[in-house]
Formats: sequence, C-alpha cells, structure tokens
Amino acid sequence: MEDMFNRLPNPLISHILSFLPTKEAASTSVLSKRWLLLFASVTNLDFESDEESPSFVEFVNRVLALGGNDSINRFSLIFTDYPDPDTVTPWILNVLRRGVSELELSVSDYPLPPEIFVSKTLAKLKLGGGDGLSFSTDVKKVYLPKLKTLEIESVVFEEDGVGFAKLLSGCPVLEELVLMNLGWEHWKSCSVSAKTLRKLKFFCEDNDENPKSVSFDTPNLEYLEYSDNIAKKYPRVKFRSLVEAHISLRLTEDQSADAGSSEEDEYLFESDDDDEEKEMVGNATNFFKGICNVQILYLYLPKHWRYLLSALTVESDEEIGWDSLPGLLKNCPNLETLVFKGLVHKSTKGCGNMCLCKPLKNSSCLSSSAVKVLKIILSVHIDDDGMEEEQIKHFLEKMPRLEQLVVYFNESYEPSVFELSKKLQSVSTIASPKCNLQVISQNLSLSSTLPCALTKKWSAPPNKEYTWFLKAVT
Amino acid sequence: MSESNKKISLISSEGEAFEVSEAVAREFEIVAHMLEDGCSGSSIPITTVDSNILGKVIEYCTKHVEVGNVEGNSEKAEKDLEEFDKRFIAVEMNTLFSLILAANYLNVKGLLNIGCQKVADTIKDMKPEEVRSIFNIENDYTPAEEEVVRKENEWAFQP
Repeated sequence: MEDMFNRLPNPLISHILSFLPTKEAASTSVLSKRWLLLFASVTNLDFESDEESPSFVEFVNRVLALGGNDSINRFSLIFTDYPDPDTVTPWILNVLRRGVSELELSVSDYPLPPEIFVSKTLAKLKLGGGDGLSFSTDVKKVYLPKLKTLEIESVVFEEDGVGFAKLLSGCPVLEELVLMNLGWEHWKSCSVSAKTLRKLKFFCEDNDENPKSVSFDTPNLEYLEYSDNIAKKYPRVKFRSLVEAHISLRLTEDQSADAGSSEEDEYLFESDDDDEEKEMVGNATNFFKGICNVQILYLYLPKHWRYLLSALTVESDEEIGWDSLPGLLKNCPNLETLVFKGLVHKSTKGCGNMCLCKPLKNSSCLSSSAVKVLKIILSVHIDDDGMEEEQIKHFLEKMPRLEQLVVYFNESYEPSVFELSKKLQSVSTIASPKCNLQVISQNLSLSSTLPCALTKKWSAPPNKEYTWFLKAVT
Repeated sequence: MSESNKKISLISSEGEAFEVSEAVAREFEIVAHMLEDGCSGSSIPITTVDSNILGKVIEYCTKHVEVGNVEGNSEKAEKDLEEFDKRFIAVEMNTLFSLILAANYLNVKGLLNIGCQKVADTIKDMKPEEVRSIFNIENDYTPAEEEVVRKENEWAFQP
C-alpha cells in the first residue's frame, strides 16, 4: 500500500499540522525525511510549558527562526514559570512583525511589551490567567484598529482604571470583551466604554471589597454577563440594544453576615460612626434602570437579598394577581414601606389571604408582615360596592406593626374623604397597638390616631405628604 | 428568475452533471470567482474531482447554505450544524484525504478545516511509529539521522 500522504502537497500537510499543538506538530519531523521541516510552516503556533527549561526556549527560538518571515495566524504562549522578559519579548515582537492576528499570552510576572498595543493586524487578543501580567505605564499609546475580541484576566493595570480606559479607547471595532478579576474593586472607578461592543462578560470572583464605581457605556451591547459584588454606585449605565443579560450581584461575606443577623437589621444601611454619612452597601438602582429594556433576563440574587428590600410599590392591574406578595411579606424582614397604586387585582388562589376576594379560611399572610408604613393611592374611580374600603379595613385588622396608614384620593369630592376617614376610624379591632391614619385629597387632609380617636386634626393641603403623592401619581 | 433560484451545473471528472442553486455553487470559492470574473456559462467543469466526492462536497455546501438562510434560533442551528459536520467527516481515511484535496482545490474553507482537524485529531497523542504504520509512511532516516532530528527538536520529544 502506498503512503497516503503522497497525495497531499506539502502546504496541505503543514495546514493539517496547524491544528496540533506545536510540540506535537514538531514531533512529526521524525516520521520521514519529507516531514523534517513541514511543521515549521504551520500558521498556528501554540507553546505551553510550566518551567523555563533551556530545551523549551531553544525549541521556540528554532521554530520561530525556521518560519522566517512567513505570516502567522495564531500565536499562543502559556508559560507559567517566571521567565526572563528578555527571552519572551523577542518572540512576541517576532510574531507581531509577521502579522499575527490571534495572540494569547499567559506569562507570569511579565510586563506586556507596548508594541502589542499598536498592532495593525491583531483581531483577537487574550491576556492573562497566569500570575501577574501587567499593563504598565510604559504603554503610551493604544491603537488596535482590527481588534474584535479582547479577553483579559488578572492583568495588573499600573494606572488602575485610567490604564484600563486607555486600553479600551484604542479599540475602535471591538465586539466581544471578557474581563475577569482585574482588581477594579481597588480602583477609583471602572468604566467599560466601547461603542461597538456586542458581547460583554464582566466577572469578579468572591472577595471582600465592593467596587466604588462601575459604569457601562455600551449602547450596542446585545449580551451581558455580569457577576460581581454590588458597586457603591453606577454613575453611567447605557445599554440601548440589550437582548440577554445574566446578572449575579453579590454582597461581600461580611455584608452577608451582617445582613443575616436579624437583630442588627439597621446596621446594613446605616454606619455606626457618626462622622460618616448614612452608607448603603451598594446601590444598584441605577444599574437596574439601565437594563430595564432587556428582553431576556437571568437574575441571580445575593444570598441575603431579602434583607435588602425595604420598600415595595405595587401597581394595580385587574389582570394581575397578588400571588407574589405573600412570599415577599413573609420573607423580607426589612420591608417596612408598602405602597399600593390602586387596589384592583385579579382574584387568584395564591394571594395568601392578602385580600378578601375569597372567604378567609386560614390566617392572612399580612399577620407576619414587618410593614410599618402603608400608602394607598386611590387615583382611579372607586368601586361602588366598597371593595377599597373593605380592603383597607382588612389591612388595618391584620397588619401588626403598622404605624402609619396614608390614603390618597385623587379627587376633590369631599364627602367621600370624610366618609372613608370616619369609617376607618370606626374599625374596632386594629392589629397594631397604635397607628396614625391620614386621608388626603386635593384640598383636605384628615389625620387621626387609631385605635381610639385620640386626636383629630384637619388642615388644608398641600402639606409634605401631599407633595409626595402628587409626585407618585404623575 | 431571481439570482438565488438560478441553477448551475457542476461537471465531475467523469462528465456527470450536478445541478445546484447558484448560492450553493458560490460556496465553492473557485466558482464564485469564476462567476465574478464574468464566466457566464451555466455549466462549470470540475475536472479534478470525481462524482462521488463532488456529490459529498455539494451535500456539505447545501446543508451549510440552508442553515445560513434560517434566521433566529441560531444557537440550536449552530449545534445542529456541528453535529452534521461531525457525522459528515466520519469517513475512512482515503475518502477524507480526497475531501481535503477537493475542498482545497474548490476553496471550500469550512470543509477544508474540518477535514484537516480530523486528520490532526487522528495523529494526536500517537507515537511516530503508530503514525507511520497507519498511513504507510516509510521511515527513510538511518538510525543515526533520526537521532539527530530528535536532538534538534529535543523538547518536542519529551513526555
């Protein structure tokens, strides 16, 4: 039988060898005389070694020398020992000169040569994974006009966020970006700004710090994976084209522990130190506002997220039931403010006796709620059969920690305001020891204290509460 | 008749005609270039490829054009295509080499790459002696010469 490779011309065999790690490709040199140098013409070079042995260095030198000035598609160097930069840098300069389009480097304790960042041919760049690759202040200019994919992991940016911003600003056609463990929690701010970006993975493994400030200015991003501790603030969040997002925001271990100890509920939100201002763990409100148009959202909440929920607004809709409310009321010990915009809802089985749609069989989930402030906005026409009135009575009768109930009327029809106030005052069995009741309309505010009407006060709006209400309904 | 419905005949080395849509024919970069250069004939001779192999290459290109035309559901489509490629390239070595040669000549990059990858996967982790015996490669080195080659690329032969 004939040698099967006789049918293939040399360049095709070299192309086949390009699909092997260079070490294996080179071992074919021993097959026969024809194969002696076929491996030297491969277009993909992959070198991996965990020690700086003379034979490894000699091998890389030899392969690069044999390749002459032939163009190279891919160069990958994984060198986890701590090599001499004077050994590695000439290799990188060699492949850059030969127009490499994919470069992967994982070299320990190595300052990246500035030449990498002005390559006109690089389309894909993967840096890091090892221990201490650095983007030093020696990198004065970044211009990578063809770079579409950039992956950086555990790279040290000597100028922190400034260096990182410099890198991104030099990538005008970047489409895919992976950022892992860059230490941005120690930076003043971390800003991912890339107009052409479509896909972003932003990942940091568990640690004890919250990033101070994280911004996303990526108007064309379609896919986002974001897993990190909650940042203290999100000054700029710009996603206009987001289709799919996987969000996993975490607390640090200390914060989780604090959140878990329920006696110290307040500690999470307020610093004990008088000099410091009230400090939140992190405030992701702006971030969530920024992603609110996403089509597919996978949300992984932190372990103690339920301790973080302090206020909830429920918008009424006759097509939507209250099924999610019992769980929230029961499990969120810091949920102290509850706002209803209307009380109309769909009658369902899962409402846990929040409402009176079904006859009460078991105790109501309201009995275990921590809500102190309940605000109800009756801005639409009130039901003739008194559903709203009965529902509000039900709240009063079941919520044990209620301290303040405010009902807003969006009409000036005074008899109904008086009437409702009077009826609520007459509820004999309120669950909490003492509750302030306010009924407010456009030109009247009625205030009293339950259970017994200790004080009654009439005043003319607008007062402070009324201004809040006007804001809430618009 | 719209551009994509236009039919083109590809003629194998045995003279057999394969009628394909222009979109499929254009997957052969060599044909795409001919068409762009104003070659207007509706039949194109592929003299170096026999009917058996040409049929297979057309099957590959047809599948890839079909999947490329379907919009949405891209992740599933990509997986299906990967499965198709895997089954398509699971052929005996002689046919595999013929496919590589044809893909190289016709310039069908996707097929060339999965073919070369398949050969590389076969060689991978094999000792030189095994590679020689599978592909009938005759070792024309003297033992002394072979020793020199091993010495030159010493690192490549370390375990």
